[in-house]
Amino acid sequence: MASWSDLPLDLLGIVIACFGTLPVDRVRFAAVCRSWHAAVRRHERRRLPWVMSWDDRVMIPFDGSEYNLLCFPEDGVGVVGSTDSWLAVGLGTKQEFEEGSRCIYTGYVLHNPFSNTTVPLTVLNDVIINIGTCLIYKFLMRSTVDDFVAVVANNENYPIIVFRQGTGAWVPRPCTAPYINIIDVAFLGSTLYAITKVEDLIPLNLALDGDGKPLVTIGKRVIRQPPGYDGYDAWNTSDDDDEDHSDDERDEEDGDDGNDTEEEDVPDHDGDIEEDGNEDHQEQEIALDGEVPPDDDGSHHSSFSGEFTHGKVTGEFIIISRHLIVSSGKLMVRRHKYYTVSICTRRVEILEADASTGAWVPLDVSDGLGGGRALFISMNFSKSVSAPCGEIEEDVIYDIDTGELFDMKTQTSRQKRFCTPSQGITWLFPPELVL
Amino acid sequence: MATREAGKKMIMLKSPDGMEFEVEEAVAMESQTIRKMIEDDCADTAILIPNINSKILSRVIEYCNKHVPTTGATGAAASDTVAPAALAEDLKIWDAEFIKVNRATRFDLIQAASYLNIKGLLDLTSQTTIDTISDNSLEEIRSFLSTKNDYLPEEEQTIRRENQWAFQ
Repeated sequence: MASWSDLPLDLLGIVIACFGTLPVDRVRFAAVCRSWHAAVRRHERRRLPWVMSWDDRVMIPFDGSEYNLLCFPEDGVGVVGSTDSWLAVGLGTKQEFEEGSRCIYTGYVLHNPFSNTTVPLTVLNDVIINIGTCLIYKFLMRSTVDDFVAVVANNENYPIIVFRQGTGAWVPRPCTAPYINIIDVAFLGSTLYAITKVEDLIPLNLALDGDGKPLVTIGKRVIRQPPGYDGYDAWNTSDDDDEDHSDDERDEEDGDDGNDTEEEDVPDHDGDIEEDGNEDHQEQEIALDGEVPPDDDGSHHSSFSGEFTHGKVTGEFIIISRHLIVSSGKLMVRRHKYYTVSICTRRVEILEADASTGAWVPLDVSDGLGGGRALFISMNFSKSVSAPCGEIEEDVIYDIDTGELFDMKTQTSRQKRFCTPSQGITWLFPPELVL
Repeated sequence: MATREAGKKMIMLKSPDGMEFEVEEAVAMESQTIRKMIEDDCADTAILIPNINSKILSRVIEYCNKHVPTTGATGAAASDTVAPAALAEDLKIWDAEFIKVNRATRFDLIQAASYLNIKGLLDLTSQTTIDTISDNSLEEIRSFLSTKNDYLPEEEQTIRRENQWAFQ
């Protein structure tokens, strides 16, 4: 009898194409026999990552329909963050309110829907129970589940938590700058870098104490903007119609300057390294002893790193957002300006951190993303990926908040969106096959 | 359109084992391969379908008959009264029954679907194959589809190790 091993490569390709979404099936297909392996290898190409919604729904870019993840923790009600193939899932209940349903989380787990692995997050749960309600905006793992994890939340007392599974957590002293001004973080080597709204770049050095508990010490700012810096110098030289709005942005920023001043009032952190280290234990105590701050239901913006302003002439709402990304071993910030009425991106800038001059240096538009890269941006997880590769285009930014493919070289959005705005909150990267 | 409703043009399909099947042209044209032959005027009265035996060809025709868009008499006065969603649901149930065949038949069907280029049937047979792969262990897949495991033990180990997440 004819064997399925003997199906022609093209026909196997059709079967493989039908797999569509689940990489797990493609691996298993390849493992059946050599000819199937050859077929998968021939037809395999790098796919776009998936757009993850706040619940268990997932969308394949450009596909248009939504799917439910086959594997999801039983009592999981919402996704709060992701890193690569891992999802941070909130457990609890969904409650109906007049303004719609809201998730009440009682704890979190880490879940990998591809291998159907769920890891309890005991350390994080203990911290969160003690600090009270908070919404997690970012859940960033340095590498594996046993390595450092940084959590950014809307709780103004404890806006950032760094923990390691099984050993313990670090939280800053309540309500302290610069932590309360952090809008995004990224791991690079043994350091967690953070940016503030005024685009200061602050290194948080990671170490372990004798018990293997994370120890975070704040380092000298790599970039410190001068007091009163409004972060828009680059925008204002713009020759597009942004000019109309620039005054407005300044006003908006002036409001923020209150915060900036507070932040700048904090003594220079250069000498704080030791002190912070010593106080780490005490800070932990504060968190765990209670002193639970009042309930903080934190209204949930589409992008917590974004700020809203509006154009003076049109009155149009403008969202300006900033994301910190590590690309080819360098720290970069993406500044993004989005018009909510005309629903389009007008301007995107990529700036590279220059430690020697202590400044952000904009990449030249003609350089795109610096060559050989594509960026995937979302509030919860951003990633730089080598490109072009399979479906991933070079010098293009894929932004979940807007659903746009933004071509850095031409500074324009592609006509076709890969998802509708606000459809997803984070990227989920299916594991790559090793064939 | 008019010809179909009036005289319904018929086409003769011949299998290599000598059987002849008279089918409506519209039904035969569910196959893009046959459609092209007809449109290119390569088909006189009978089309020989090589490589597909009468048993499989009759199943394929059965599939096309069911899936040809229902206008006029074929397949039902139903189309006027039944909602499209219900029709689609009905087709899905029918497909599920249709594909409940042994692996040898399914193997022949997928090849026939590929050769005749019948998208729906190709999707159906591919999907069924995928379901087999999704729901079973490697050993079961090999046994169901009678594929030979031609890997050396260490090669298979390497694939499993490097993609461990897929085999948990």
